[in-house]
Amino acid sequence: MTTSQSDAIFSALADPTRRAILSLIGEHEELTAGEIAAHFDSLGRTAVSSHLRILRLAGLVAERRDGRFRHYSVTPTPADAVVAFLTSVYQNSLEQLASAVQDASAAGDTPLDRTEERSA
Amino acid sequence: MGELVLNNETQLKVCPSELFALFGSGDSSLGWLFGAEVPQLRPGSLVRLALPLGGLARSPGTARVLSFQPDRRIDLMHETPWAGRVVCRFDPLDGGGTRLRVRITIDDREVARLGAELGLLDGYDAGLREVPLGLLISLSGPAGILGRSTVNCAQLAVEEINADGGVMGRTVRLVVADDSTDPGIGAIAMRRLCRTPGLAAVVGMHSSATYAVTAPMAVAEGIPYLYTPTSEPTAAHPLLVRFGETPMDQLHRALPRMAARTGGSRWFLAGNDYSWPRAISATARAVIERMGGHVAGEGYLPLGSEDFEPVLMAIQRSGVDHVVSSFVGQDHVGFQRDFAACGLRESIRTFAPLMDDAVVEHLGESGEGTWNALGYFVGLDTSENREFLRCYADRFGPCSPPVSAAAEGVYEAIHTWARSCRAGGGADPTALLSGLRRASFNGPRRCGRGGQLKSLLLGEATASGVQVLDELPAAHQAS
Repeated sequence: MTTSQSDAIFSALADPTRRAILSLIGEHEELTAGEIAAHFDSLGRTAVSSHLRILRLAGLVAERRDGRFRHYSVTPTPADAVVAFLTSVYQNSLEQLASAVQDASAAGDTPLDRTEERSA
Repeated sequence: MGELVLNNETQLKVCPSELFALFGSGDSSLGWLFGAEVPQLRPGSLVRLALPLGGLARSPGTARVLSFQPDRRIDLMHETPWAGRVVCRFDPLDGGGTRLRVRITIDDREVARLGAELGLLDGYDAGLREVPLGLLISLSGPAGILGRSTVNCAQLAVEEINADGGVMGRTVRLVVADDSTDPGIGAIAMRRLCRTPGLAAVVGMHSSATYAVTAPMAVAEGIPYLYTPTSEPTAAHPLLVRFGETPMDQLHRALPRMAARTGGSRWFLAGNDYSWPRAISATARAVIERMGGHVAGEGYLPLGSEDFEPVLMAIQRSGVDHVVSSFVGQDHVGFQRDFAACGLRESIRTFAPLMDDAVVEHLGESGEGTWNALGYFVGLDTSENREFLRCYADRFGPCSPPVSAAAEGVYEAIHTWARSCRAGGGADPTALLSGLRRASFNGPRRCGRGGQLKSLLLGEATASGVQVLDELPAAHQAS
């Protein structure tokens, strides 16, 4: 799996609503956007469609067109996605750490000083 | 059992000792892992995490320090929202930098649970000789930070039952599902549990908001639902079995004691804005008015709140002597910390119906002086409790999350379930329900037949945990 695929999966799954949508689709063979929207009180059709697009681009959800309906199902090679998601969650923390440390040294300030300032 | 191993690494321009010193600061700009909050770096101490999993907000999680070597290595046990071992290694690089390697190990069963919850992997498939028992709890969202010890206690109960011959000669297998502290996700998780072939029952330790959605599902599917948190008795159905304390039990016994201690009569009612905290407040108001006190104000905030100022200001203005606080999980921790930080703790006593040993660990000194009445505290000094705590420590090690009333309640409910199945002659609903009328489990808390609570403990939060002040008969026993 490439880094960009992995990033797309992380972005898709870092949102609780998209996790809930994916989980709901996983409980069924197929669902339409309307059926998905009906499950969530606070979510309109447009929002559901935009979440579905992100899930589809991350390769987590497949779309099948049937007349004017689009049916969504979970893609059949998902085990890698769980691994990619978990890897990205931890990688994300290291990237943020690296960038914070970089910013601090660029500002002529060591991260250690920042810690001391905070506790003072 | 297999495991998933993930290796991540990065190179940084600071030396290992500087990098190591950043761990535990609680500064979120350092990312969720090194920005973790660790009040004191020592084996066994709690690590509070803010994971980037909540959309715009951050999602709370927990880990625990297993061991560390200064400037070289930190070993953690990730507890929530998932369980895994995390090892951070700091190696010096030529030129003064650090190579930071993070190795994560997650066992296959936990990966399968996460996959099933994301709709990506099929759920658990029971063997014919196994009895699947569902556990619906919160491992993510605001209530998730208290979830790991509950899973541990459920696992311990199941292992003890299996060591004792299982249920009708079959091995019990725990199937864990996470409601993410959200009723909509709870409904999806419950549907997945109900699809598990041969599912015998569901044990629920989650909010009443989730229960309102999932209890009718259990009834429709014909699956017994054993609900363990402190809760208001609601819709009666034989399949819905309630184990927890009732607000009436908790408040009726404890609030008059608190007023007698302070000599005050003015109260403020605060909590999250959904059914359970509102029910707590309604009961508290009735109890307070009956004893001649006065409710000077009320304030509620949505679950997942981070800014408690509106309620804190209202409390300050109201000039009360006591607060009844029914915030939940992470919100409970946030509210109590801010309450203490703005100096209200000195003049106002708090009663919090969800304050238990796990919450107190998160609160630290900001929780000191808070009262609650529950069926169980770790400090309960009985031989049954000492034995239970010894078994828990033996099974999960010295760096395991502390047992809480919520977790111990699940332990007792699962043992009571197994005894009832044996007494009734099977794991089917009819046998269970008939057995529940006769069976009892002699565990740490004082329960009668079918897990009915006989007494409550009055507890006060201190720096070293919850101190048990007194034992009170449960209201329904006394009246």
